[in-house]
Amino acid sequence: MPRDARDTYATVQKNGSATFMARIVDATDTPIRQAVIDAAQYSVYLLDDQDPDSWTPIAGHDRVTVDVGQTVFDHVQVDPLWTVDTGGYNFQHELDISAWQAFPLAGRHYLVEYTLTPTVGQVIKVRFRTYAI
Amino acid sequence: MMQGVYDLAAWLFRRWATLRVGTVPPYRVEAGDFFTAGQAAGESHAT
Repeated sequence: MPRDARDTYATVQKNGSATFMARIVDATDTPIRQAVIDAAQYSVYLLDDQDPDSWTPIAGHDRVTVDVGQTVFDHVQVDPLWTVDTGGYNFQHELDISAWQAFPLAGRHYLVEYTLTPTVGQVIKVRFRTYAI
Repeated sequence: MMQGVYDLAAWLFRRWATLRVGTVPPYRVEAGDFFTAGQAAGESHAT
């Protein structure tokens, strides 16, 4: 069965933070483990509603290195934070906005894109589209 | 004897190189979710 790429949509507060979670699996639908991921980073982009190819990096949130050990879990987490299904999540990251705001403009869309580099195989993109209020 | 070692090393390198360029089926995001501080207390009352 074909599986389309898709983003997760979120509404966030202007100058607020957010915690992003995902369940990442391999081709056999088995959740990945920390050892699979060699490196991780994220970027936040301001999007242009008139131009889907216009991504403007947000200062302080451009290609930021993420600690794999604190972001990817060896065991799927099932707790009240996860509301999508009963399957839980094995990826979680909270945006640190103590030095740089991630969503400085209300009424605008942003793309939060995580890039996970596995030890073998192609990069994994974990993307969230947010709307700031 | 040494030729066997070299052959094994060459095979292992080719195997590693093949895997490294991405013959492993891609990983995928099965589901995503998020949490914001604003979700914790969202209630209002008209007076």
